[in-house]
Amino acid sequence: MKTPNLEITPQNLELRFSQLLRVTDKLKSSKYSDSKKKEKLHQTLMVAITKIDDCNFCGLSKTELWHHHVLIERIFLWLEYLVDSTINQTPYEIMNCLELVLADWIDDLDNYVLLTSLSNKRNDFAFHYDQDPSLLIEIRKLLKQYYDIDLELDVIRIILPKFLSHDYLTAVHLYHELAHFIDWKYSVTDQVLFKRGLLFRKDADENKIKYQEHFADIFAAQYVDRASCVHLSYLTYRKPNGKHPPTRIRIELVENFLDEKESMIVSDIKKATLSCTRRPLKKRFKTAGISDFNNLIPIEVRAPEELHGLFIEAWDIWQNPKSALRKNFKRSDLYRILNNLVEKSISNYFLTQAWEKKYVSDEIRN
Amino acid sequence: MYLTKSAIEKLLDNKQLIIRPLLDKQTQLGEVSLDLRLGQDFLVSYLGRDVSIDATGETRNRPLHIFFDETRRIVGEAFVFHPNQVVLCSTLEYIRLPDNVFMSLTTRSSYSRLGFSLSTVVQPGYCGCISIELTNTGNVPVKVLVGARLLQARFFKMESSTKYLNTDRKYLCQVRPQVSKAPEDTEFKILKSLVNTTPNLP
Ligand SMILES: [Zn+2]
Repeated sequence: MKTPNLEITPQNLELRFSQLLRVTDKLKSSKYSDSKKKEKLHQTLMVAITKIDDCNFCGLSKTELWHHHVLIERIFLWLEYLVDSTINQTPYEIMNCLELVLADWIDDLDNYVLLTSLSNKRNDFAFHYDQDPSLLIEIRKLLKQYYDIDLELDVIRIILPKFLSHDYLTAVHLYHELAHFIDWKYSVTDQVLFKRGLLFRKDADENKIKYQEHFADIFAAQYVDRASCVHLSYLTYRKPNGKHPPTRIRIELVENFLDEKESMIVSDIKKATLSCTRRPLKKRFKTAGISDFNNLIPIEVRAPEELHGLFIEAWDIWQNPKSALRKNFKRSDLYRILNNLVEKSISNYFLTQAWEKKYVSDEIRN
Repeated sequence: MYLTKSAIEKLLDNKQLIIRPLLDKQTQLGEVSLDLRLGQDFLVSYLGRDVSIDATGETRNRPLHIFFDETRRIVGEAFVFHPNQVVLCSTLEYIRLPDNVFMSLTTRSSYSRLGFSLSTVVQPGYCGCISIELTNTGNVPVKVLVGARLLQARFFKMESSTKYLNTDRKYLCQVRPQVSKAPEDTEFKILKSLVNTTPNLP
């Protein structure tokens, strides 16, 4: 990394580091019992902070000051994410579902730690990650070089609205956002553009955004069927984003994918996905014929496909004006009930899985 | 009448009685009872800026949940019950009772001996995780594992059915502990109006 011509004084750095220490105090007793990886990241950062605390910034060269600036800013950023990722804050039911999706698509999942940030904005759903991998490599190098610290983990930050963190209807958005991460990791859209001869045209950037959205829509539909489209059409109603493709076309393509109808774009996206990721785009959800939700009980999920299917079952009831639950309950009660039932179904699944695994392994041992 | 093991099993098998998850039926199901587990969510009372909890139904008063801190645990983690602190928690199991069966819920004797006491009745047709209030009445803090079989349920079959769904909708399908809904009692208005109408008897 080149040292830019900016003045990083020891005093600037001392100020920043003091601010960072305040955040650290808040985080010291944090528990991340849902994930060993978060704990590991936390511990590594604490070690780094303790070591940097012993460093005399006034004795650093210009380059070293710049390096410390990069390190401190990055540690600060990660700490900010960790604040919202404690067991009390993080909606781990939905996080666990997303981690299963990631497991379908990436081999080195152990290297990734998923953190959550809760936003105050109602439409904030996003995945954040280092778009430029060289930056993370640089940070790892600096940590090793100055403080002999090894950091293998890579961070994916999932942003969702604070007030909707237990809203499993709206959570289908995160499947779409996750798709952008997969696209970035494997450059699927670039491949589509290349095949269609659009990559080197003047309007390549515009096309890229279009195809990125199409890919993400179809990717999400693999898991949550039409559910992500339903909400999409509400959010984009009368507010066509200049760069995004029209909602009507987006939904049409998702329908084509789900109904296996002939479509050039869908077919190109499927081909590119297979060649870039070695994994096919296909339906990866399963729903029961008659949902237990109609009887006000959580669904006994037996496989990940059914887990993703929960979101679809909840949407089906919510969308259907004829459903008995719609008739019997006030909308605010139905909203609460559906969210509760999805959440309980998810947490029961992961608990039962863990229990059975442990139980079986104990029986073998005995 | 009390339901015995075989009767409870029959209700479970034909899905009239729903217990989800039932992690270990063999261990949880006794001769006349079924053990239930401590859930993952807690509301812990703490002293805030208000001088007292107002359960008289004054609408200008602040909602009761501000007197409680919400906290979550993973199954297998410990939760510490401090002496005399009211802790609202819920069963790990989501339950749906048949329309003609009610359930009595008590702490298992091994936990009663640690200073916990609870005795509550759950109405026929109830569905949801059951909110319970636990207080450690001893004078030392007690650590309990989340997911431990803390409670014992007994089932009573009645002659006729009732329709729970038609009455208590606010408590329906809950999966987390709920604070008291005492201030929402509709008869408070009547009670308060009595102050002005009751004749002052000599
Ligand atoms: Zn998008």
